[in-house]
Amino acid sequence: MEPLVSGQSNEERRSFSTALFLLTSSLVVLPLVFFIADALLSFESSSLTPIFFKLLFRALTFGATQAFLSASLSIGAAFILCLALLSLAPARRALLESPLRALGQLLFVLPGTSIALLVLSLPRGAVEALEGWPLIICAHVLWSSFFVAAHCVERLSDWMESEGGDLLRVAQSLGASRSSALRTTLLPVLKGEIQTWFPLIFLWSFGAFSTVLLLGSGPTHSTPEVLLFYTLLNDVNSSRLLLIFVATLGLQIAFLGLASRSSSNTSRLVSPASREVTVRRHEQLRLPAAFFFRAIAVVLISGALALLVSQVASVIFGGAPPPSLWSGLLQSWLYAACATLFCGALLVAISAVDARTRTRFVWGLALSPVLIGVSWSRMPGLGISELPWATALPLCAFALALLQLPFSALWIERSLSTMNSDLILYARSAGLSESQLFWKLRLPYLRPVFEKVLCYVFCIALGEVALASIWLRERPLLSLEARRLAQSYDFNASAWVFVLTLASALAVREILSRSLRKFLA
Amino acid sequence: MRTLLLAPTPLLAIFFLLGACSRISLPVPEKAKDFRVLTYSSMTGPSSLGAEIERIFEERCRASNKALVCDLVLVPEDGDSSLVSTYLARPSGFDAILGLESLQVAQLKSKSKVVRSEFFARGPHAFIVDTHVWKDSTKWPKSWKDLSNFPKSVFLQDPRVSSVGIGWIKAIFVHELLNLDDARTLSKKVFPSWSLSYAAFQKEGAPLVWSYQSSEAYHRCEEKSERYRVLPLEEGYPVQEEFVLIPGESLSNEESLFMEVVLSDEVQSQIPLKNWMWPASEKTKLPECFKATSPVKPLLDPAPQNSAAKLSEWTDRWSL
Amino acid sequence: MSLTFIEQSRLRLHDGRLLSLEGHVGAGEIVALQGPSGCGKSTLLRHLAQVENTPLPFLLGGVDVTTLDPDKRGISLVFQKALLFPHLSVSENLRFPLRFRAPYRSWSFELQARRVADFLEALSLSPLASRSVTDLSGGEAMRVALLRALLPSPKCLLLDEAFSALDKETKAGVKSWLRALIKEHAIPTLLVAHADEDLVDFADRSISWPQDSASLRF
Repeated sequence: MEPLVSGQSNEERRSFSTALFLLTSSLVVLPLVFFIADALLSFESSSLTPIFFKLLFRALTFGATQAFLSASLSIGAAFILCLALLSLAPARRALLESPLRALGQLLFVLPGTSIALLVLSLPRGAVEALEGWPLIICAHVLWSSFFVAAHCVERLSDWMESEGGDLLRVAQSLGASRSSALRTTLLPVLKGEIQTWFPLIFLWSFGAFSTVLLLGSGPTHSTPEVLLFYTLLNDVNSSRLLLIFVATLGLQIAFLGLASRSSSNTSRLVSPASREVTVRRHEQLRLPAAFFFRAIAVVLISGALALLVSQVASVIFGGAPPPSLWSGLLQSWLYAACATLFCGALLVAISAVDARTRTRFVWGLALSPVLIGVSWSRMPGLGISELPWATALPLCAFALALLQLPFSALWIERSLSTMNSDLILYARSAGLSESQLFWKLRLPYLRPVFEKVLCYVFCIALGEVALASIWLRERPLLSLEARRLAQSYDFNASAWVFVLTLASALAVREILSRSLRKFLA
Repeated sequence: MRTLLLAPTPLLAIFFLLGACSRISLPVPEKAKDFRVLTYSSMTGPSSLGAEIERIFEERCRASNKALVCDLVLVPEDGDSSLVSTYLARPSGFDAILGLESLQVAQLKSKSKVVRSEFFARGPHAFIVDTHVWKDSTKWPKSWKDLSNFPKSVFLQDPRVSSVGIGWIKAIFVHELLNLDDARTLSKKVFPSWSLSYAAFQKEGAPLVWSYQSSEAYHRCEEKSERYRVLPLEEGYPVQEEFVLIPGESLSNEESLFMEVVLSDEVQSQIPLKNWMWPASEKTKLPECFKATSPVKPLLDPAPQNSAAKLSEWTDRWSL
Repeated sequence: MSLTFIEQSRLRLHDGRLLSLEGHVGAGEIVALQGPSGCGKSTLLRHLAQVENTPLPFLLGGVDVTTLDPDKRGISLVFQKALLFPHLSVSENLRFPLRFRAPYRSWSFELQARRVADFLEALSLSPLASRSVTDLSGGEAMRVALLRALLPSPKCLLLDEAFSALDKETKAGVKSWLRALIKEHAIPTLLVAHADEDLVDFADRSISWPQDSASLRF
């Protein structure tokens, strides 16, 4: 689909897309290049002992293993939930879809600290039994599986009601049994979903920071991000930092490259659901294991609900929040508001570029807060750690907004791919200019995506630990306070952090919906 | 439209320019405004030893009738970097460092200029037992070798970040009280600081925490509680010596005064009940509740210079 | 082999009417069923193909299809859209029914692939074999869908507006090609169609959907 930017020809549109891509890339790549160059100039190989290489290798393998397990289990749990829901009759399914979506979004927007606290509030025996990397994986699975399940249900539901049902009938009419027909028709779609979500969850888990800090039991549970963080703060010489940085970034880029290659062939084949399709009755999926799936789904959902309820209960009955939380709340809100504003501007910008440029942004998924934090901190001449608070805060917020760009680009692209191109033709024939098409058609169409992304960014900023720990350490931000409280096992305070973050998320979502509606009206 | 979309660019340019400018003109004027002391977080509370040092320093400074910088600011560590790293990242930001461990002092001396360093407090390390978790003291381990029968029972501190953790490194590598594999088995969780580990310990997170012999005294003196006790081990425990250090090439009047204050009888006498350590000055009278602390056999480092040189390697091996 | 309706051949329509099916469709005979949109013609075909929840009994070659396992019924249904499996190539799409239908499902992969290749060659469609389904034109895709329905030697062919999405020229070509195959293999065929032009040069006879009557006579 051609991009819609006011009063511009295709040539100008392409140059705008290129300019925006170069600008945002240079903000990331330039500090990186300077940092690497500076580190190479002051390279001291004496600190690169065999033990260091073992530490680095262990961190990389631990990071990759827990990320792989987190992604696999998350997607497994998501598919169990998804298939359980799809096996219900449409009316009953519609009743459960909304709560699932709400739960998924709720858990997804909660910062890593809150998720870690949720997991730590399991019964003491369970926590001790799972101490270490199983707890970390639990946190990642809890955080992502409901969100992925909600998305899969929506996508598969649309697919079933469009061509999926017909394909199922064709397969059966050609002699396949019901389960064979399902396997033939449904599995490719599920494969497409796996190829979308697995890399994302893998990369997020690989780059996990606060969950590892809070739920790990020490250096044996260092992901590359955590190792990078401690090395940044405790090694004056940059040699080790450089090696860890290059190894981590290299691995993430390699993984992203592999993931892109495997998904590019399939993504064409899985036709996106069209919003214009009228809802038809579709067959129930009478999976042989439907009962089994539903039983597991009930356990998963009720487990998550129980955790949430216990947190809320502990807040209500646990007393007032510690004063230290209030002092940082306003600063945290400022930080989060800045990040959201920057992200909003960037979202509008990337909505205007062409699809090809947008998909290029996806490479940014290889970056994480700590990687950005390291390269900007050690970039000669920038001196971020010595900037006054008034400058450091918006800079940190901007870095956070930049980091959300790849995921937002992916989400926007996915959403736009379902937009009926006939709508554009109709709008043009009705006399709308290119600028009006952008502001009146494309942006309102993307409003749900904007709402979700901005709410997500706000909550992430509220609970963000990595960048804040590098650049804003001296401020009593909510996220840093939450980290300190969680590390000292202060669960009552942790419940307040959870509630404050949740209330902020709901309030922001409400405010954002209204202001976005007004802005786009 | 294009201008609106490219609005972040001038903002970014300003940020980078500001950053570059701040690097060129470092905050030297801060030195003229206050006397900044880098120390650990438990030294900075309102009723801590640090508060007393601050009060006494400022009093004596103002009474000296010289044009001195008398406003003392205690800067706590951030919990993620050691005192040495924090100082080396910003050498001009601090006039003194309070609370360095002996190996850290040697480390700093090897990387930066140090005018003067003196030890002002000491104390043996010790495991502190929560008697509510381990009720029967007859079943407690009697020696370091016995500890290997109690896996995942200790909260520790990260030696990369915390000076208390360095004591653990000494126990393993200097005094060879237990081997590295046993040490790993014993570890339940590693915390970035002593205060976080102790707070978690007090919430019945673990039966043991790596701390100081004087922690028992704290609970007895302040809380009148016998709940938390030293775990007596026949081989003994490493001793930590805490230092006050003035970095740089010359000693200013304020720095000299600060040293004097920390080593004065007035401050030394407050160390037991404010800092919960033993004062360097042996003539300082100890409170009664302090004297009743369970005895431990103190182990001194026979070759501190060698230990300092190997600290980095030992920390790496421990991290593995 | 002919298609014969029996006393139990009854269908409940959307409007609640119970429609009785009578008569038969001879071997190689093409019968068109015409009627307004939404009256139930496609539903009837899907029930005849036994892909809906309730079975619709009728005789094929003297045997009640509902007493047979799905792989032995031998009924092929073709929709208005080609509905080729997007993740399989053309030859894999064609091989699909051979994996499930008796007796072909007991054949080895090589034999199944051989049958596909022979069929394609006989119809001069071999160039399509290795192509991706997304690269096919509308007419090519519909030919492949029809071939897929014919490959397992069906005893009965049901066409649900199979030509309506094709342009005039393609339609003429596909119809004549398909009619020749149907006649050659003597497959009783039911075609649901809107437009009269779909029936021209194709159907042997045409029947109209009963508006008020409770029976449909073939």
